[in-house]
Amino acid sequence: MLTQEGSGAALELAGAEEADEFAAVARRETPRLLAVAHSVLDDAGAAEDAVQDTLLLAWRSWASLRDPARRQAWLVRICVRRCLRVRRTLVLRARREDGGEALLEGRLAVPAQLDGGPIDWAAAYRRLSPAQRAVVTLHYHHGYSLDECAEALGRRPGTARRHLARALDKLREEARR
Amino acid sequence: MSDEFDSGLRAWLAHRERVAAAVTSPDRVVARVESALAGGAARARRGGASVRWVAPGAAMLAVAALLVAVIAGSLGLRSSHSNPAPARPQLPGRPWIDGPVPTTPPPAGVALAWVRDPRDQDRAIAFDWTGRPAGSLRLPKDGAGFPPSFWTSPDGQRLVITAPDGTTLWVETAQGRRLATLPPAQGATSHMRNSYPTSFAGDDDTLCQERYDVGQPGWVAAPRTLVVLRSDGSVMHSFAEAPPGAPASLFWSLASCDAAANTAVLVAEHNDPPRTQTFTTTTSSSRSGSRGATGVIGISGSFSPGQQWVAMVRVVRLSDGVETDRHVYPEGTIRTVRGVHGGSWIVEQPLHGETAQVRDLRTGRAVPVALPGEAIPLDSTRLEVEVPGHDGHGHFSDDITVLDWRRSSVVLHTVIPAYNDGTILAPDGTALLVGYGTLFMACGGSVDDWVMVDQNGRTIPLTRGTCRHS
Repeated sequence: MLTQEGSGAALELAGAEEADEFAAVARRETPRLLAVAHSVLDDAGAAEDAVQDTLLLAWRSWASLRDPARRQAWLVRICVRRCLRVRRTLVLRARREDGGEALLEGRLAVPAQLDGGPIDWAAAYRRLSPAQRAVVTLHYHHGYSLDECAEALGRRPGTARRHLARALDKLREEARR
Repeated sequence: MSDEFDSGLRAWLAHRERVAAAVTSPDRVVARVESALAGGAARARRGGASVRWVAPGAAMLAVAALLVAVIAGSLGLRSSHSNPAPARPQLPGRPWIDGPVPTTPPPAGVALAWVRDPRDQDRAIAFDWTGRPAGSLRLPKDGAGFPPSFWTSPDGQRLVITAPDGTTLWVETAQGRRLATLPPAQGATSHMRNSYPTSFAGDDDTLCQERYDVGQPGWVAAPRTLVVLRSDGSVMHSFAEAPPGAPASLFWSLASCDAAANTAVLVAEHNDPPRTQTFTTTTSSSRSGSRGATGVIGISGSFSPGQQWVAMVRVVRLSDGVETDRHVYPEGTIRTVRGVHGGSWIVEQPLHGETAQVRDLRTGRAVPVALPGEAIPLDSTRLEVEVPGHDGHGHFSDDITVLDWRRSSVVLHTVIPAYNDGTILAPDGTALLVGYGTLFMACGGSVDDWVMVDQNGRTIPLTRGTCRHS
């Protein structure tokens, strides 16, 4: 509880520094967070909502994160978990709408393959669960280790490995068609 | 995992990141965070508390207010506290698809952009230029199964709609009141679905219509008569597009039409051997001579077995068809000529190379402009350039730039991860509606959607389409 005018002034000073720092990190990390969110949700509006929620959640606990080196991973972790939750909400909402789930799946295919190349990546990627998409994206595109993927998902490393293995099985299966 | 599979997966993920970058906006997200935190600060202030004498939670809200200032300052974002009257369109934070779809007609007196509802081909949706849906209109059912077509006036308050026979046109207000029924195309049959090309003549009351016999062989290149109409259907003026004694090897069509300037620009293309129709017209998009394209999806076209080039441009008075200016081009040099409302300038794109010329018809002076793609005049100073892309793996994209050619500056730029179905420029030129279609192998059809792009390149989705088989 702040009851001293002097303490309040100190907090304001500290808050300004934190705000400055947070603004810089938010500006730097938002494109990456949007890429991760979009890879899981495949919906621009939902991805932006998820990243917005991520930043607001992060700001709420910003002062508690003392190690600047871990901020990026921390933000990605919040973002991925948020996306998985948003995805569940979208699926539930879509099921209540007319043809909603099929529509939601349709959104996950932007853009689709047109020329009959060797692998229809859009169709293959669409077969992955949100968690599998997250692991594939983080591991193959962002260079995360499986342990880091597990941390981002809030799951055990073995679970992340299983997600990746199943994702690759599905993708290979599509490749063999 | 094979190298091919591995590299293919990485390429796909990289492509998806580019898609994400194209359809999302970091600036918008940060601005929304700013707005959310500012709301908290405002609530704290309304409570009358001082940050120095209240609990830490409220103090945090005050810190949030500082954050707002820092973010706004460092990112150069507009803050509603510092700039309550922004000049540019303020895009909504969320796509309207999260809200109810209005089924009532839009209000009068509001500038509107009309698009076909991607989820209901028989309905048109009006957006205002903040990106919010303003209303909708039920389009007449087409007995032949084609989606009905429509064109709109520059302010979006009047529409020209194909009647159920596919060849008669209705003029209606945005509120659905019928103003006129225009005559069916000469020679049209029920299976042809040909209506006369019709566009608003720069204002919201005058129409220019090209009339010709659509029943004769090679009808695409049939001699055309330009008819100037009021929106109540009354004919004001009428004259042949080709000048007296013009050779039959030239195909004349309308490039632009403007009632206020009393001017039409007519283009003659080399047409020997004659071009012929190859597939059915289902489109209402009208790029030349109108403000962008209306939101209608379809295909149409003609085919010329020989080389095409523009041979001549005529500028005529709308009131009597008298020629006031003429430009003749050397054989095989100019691919297209497109005009802008008012007939004040045209853009001449070459048959070979990227250096086009923008010609001021009032002075005759031509300015060379590097245009890597198809150019579409939009208004008195702006033109749109589209560069379609394909990554070789079935992924299409369309790079869209709006240029101010007089100032040599880029007004808008965006890349859509699909093929472009049409664009509509805001009346003040500060925002662009872009329609795009994506083919989905999964559903065996395509999904069409509309996004709005502002001057900062920010893109928001306006619609959420469903799979369409056509």
